[in-house]
Amino acid sequence: MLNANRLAQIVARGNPDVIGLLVVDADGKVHASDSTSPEVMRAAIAMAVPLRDLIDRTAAELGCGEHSATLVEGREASFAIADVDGFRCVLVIGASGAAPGSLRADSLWLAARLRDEGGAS
Amino acid sequence: MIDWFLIASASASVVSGAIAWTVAGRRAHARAERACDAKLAVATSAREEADRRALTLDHEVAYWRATSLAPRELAPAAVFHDRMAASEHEVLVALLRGLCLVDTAVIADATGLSRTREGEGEASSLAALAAPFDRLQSALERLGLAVAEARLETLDTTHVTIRPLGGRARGTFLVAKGSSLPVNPLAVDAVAHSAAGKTLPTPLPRLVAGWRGSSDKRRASNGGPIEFFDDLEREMDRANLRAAVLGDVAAVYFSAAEDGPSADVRASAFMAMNAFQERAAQTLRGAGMARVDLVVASGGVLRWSALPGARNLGLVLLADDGATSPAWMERLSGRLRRGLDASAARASSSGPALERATASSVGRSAR
Repeated sequence: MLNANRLAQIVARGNPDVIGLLVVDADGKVHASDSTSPEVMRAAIAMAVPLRDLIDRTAAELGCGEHSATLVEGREASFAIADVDGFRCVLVIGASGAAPGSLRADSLWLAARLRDEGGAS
Repeated sequence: MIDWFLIASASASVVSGAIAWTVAGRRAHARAERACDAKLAVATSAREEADRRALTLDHEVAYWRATSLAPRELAPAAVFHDRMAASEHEVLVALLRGLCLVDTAVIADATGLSRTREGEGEASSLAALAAPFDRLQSALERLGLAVAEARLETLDTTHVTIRPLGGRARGTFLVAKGSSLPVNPLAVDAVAHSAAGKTLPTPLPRLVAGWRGSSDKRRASNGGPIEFFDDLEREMDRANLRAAVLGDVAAVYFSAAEDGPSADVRASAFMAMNAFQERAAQTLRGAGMARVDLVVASGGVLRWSALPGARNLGLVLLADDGATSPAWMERLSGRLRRGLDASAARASSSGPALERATASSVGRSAR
């Protein structure tokens, strides 16, 4: 059984598209992280919980059902957020020019693996 | 007597009248047939002319699109709004879903996002493959090589086919995965044909000047498996290959061409393919990539093969359509792989002995 940090490393290490990766729960506790940019990660940790709340509430209000994944595309870079188990979520921050689909696929893969691994963290 | 004469003359006039009527009728019929034939010929000629004009116009439109957008690196879908609806993408993918050799099939755009439903867990990863493939396609196009299709095989025998779609689905890619065997090329062709619809595919350049005419050999004097360069060169001649490049992520160690691309083009193509296979392996999260075949628009094949080992070497071979069978390429890379394995085994067996010998000599000198 691989823990969350090991899985995060599998996604992020040697991946030119990803500059940061974060597994965080609804209480703001960081379960795993891997980054080449500490400043970006600090901002991501601060924003992850309110962002997740906002997405969850918006998805519920608009009748989209439970949140599965969201992709935010910026003019410079993008990030993807994927739900693990309703409590934890994965945030993948992309490098400039990274393909948004790759980030979304990375976040969905990591979320699925964390779900399969159960509560390992 | 006179009665008989009158009867005979009347009969003769009736018969001659009937004959004249028949002959005249036949002549009129023949004239009408000739007139019809002439009109039909005119109509056929006009229709053929119209078809030719339509074909020429389609070619001109396709050529204009290709040439006007290429320098700006714009996707046609971004400019032309005759894009396919999501339901139409679903119809295309439905042609593949359910076939026995197809595990998952999606249509994705150049950003790696799927345009079709992602029922299966790995569909998003497959869609993400479209992004690095698009980058590879652009890189090779800049080098003068048009890629029509990519076929990937991982070390755990997962097969993925990536086909750029044309027509109203232009700018999207069909990505289909099959385990143990590749997805049937005819099924992939059927999807591509349906996507193209009535629109003619963009005329892709054949092997252009940059990919022909250069015959040279370059070898690294140090670094790389130097002992296999002669073997590679000999096999390359025998297999009738146009080009061969051996290297790793850092450098090219061996590069040769026989009426093929120049050394710079070969090195750039090798690096582009190496980067693509690395990214694809990471996206598929399998056991690594064994082989990447790029089907060139002219029908040739550009193949990257993994040579597993400590150095993570890769071999890129280029063959013209029909000149070299994939089996020859497989034989060549297999031969090299076995040689490298044997070399690695010799090195590992001699390693401890060397260490022991070094340790004893150090011990002796210390004493």
